[in-house]
Amino acid sequence: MTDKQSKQLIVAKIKDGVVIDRIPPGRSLKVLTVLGIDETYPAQVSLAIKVPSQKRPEGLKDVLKIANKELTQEELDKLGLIIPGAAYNIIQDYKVVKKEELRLPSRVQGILKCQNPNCATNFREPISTEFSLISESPLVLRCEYCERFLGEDYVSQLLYGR
Amino acid sequence: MQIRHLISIKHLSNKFVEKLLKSAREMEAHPEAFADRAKGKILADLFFEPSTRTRLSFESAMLRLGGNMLGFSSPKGTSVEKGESLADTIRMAHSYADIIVLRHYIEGAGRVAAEISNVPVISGGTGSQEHPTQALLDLYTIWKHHGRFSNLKIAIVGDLRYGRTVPSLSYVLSLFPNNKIYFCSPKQLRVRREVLSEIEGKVEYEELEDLEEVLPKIDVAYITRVQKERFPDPQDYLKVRDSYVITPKTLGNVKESFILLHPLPRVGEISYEVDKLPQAKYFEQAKNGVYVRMAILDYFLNYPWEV
Ligand SMILES: [Zn+2]
Repeated sequence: MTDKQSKQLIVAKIKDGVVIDRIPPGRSLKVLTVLGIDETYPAQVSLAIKVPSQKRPEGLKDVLKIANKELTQEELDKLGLIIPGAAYNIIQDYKVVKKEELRLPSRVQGILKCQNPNCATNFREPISTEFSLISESPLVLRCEYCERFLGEDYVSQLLYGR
Repeated sequence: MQIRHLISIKHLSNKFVEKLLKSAREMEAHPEAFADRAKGKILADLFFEPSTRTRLSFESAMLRLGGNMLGFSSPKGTSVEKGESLADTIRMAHSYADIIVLRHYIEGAGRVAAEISNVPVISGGTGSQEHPTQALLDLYTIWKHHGRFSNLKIAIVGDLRYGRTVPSLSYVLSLFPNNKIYFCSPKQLRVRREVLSEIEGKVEYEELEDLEEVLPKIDVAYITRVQKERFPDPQDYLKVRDSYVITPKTLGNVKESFILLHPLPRVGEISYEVDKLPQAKYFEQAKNGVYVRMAILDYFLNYPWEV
């Protein structure tokens, strides 16, 4: 079964919205958490977990289709942090109008909180957090204020709350 | 290019550092020629954490340049104690003064201040992050004795994890070619990985626990204070403290040109008998601080030269 067939079989097309494809297998639920999509979301959300994929090294992928949804830059940056390599498609009237690979952002602004309790960003100052990408694998980010590193475990705990 | 603030050594080039230290040497040789450089100018001292040496050294430098100062030496009794943000304190200071010296226990405070301030901000040390003017005066002292910025073998000893002078000194040494740093500390106080990653590929370094094995081959030993609070177990502290005490005997095997530095204050890392040895340069180091800070203030107030 090819990627295309599996998608057609399992997840129906949407008219307008976003399709996030080639998600590392099993991680789509985390994507929903990060995007804040739960039972109160007013439109159709389709999810396929661990379907065959030729493009992912694991041979499996998740696919997520969210109707009537546009992603903000902040949401794209968050997704770049947790599912780099996934494909992000914008759908209008059943057609893909934009397709992009999600990448680890080289700079992350305002999303993450610094781990260092003694960092200026953790005090009541008129600034937002800023991190730069030091290493992709393992994931290492550097706080641009206190210069401390954030590791993968901390970042995922921050993003998923566990 | 003009540099607007001095909050990290990482923002400086070797050319800048060289010019700055040459200007400090001029000031040391002919202080009278610079007596009016800061005339009519005001320095704001914002010391959110007390530091007698750094503050007095900056004030002495400002007075020698003919300037004046205002500020506080601890947040006690100021609006800061009432919960005012650093940003608001900076907004106040930049309307009262022409240059700000900031000492803060918070890391990243230098960058916050630099983002807000319309006048130059000089870091007088932030948390365990950096202490750039200390590193500049350290290098000045080394240069005065060895006559060079490069081809130096330096041991940095003690609390390398929390000591704020350690990152700055490592960064400034990594600006010049063929230096080698021996990071000498107990295991639990090794240099932070953030600092190592910054100097990686720029300067040769080695991490070790035993100072004595490198003493005969180094040009400079830079001793820092190991603080009791860093050790959960007081026994560990006592063991470590005693293993890094410098006595005349420790220095028996050093090179003829070897010098011993310490950012001060010391609390027993260097025994008093060492003070009268020719290698002991830590008091001179403190004195050099005034000339280097004069050169820094002159640069940021007047931009007398370019790089
Ligand atoms: Zn931070």
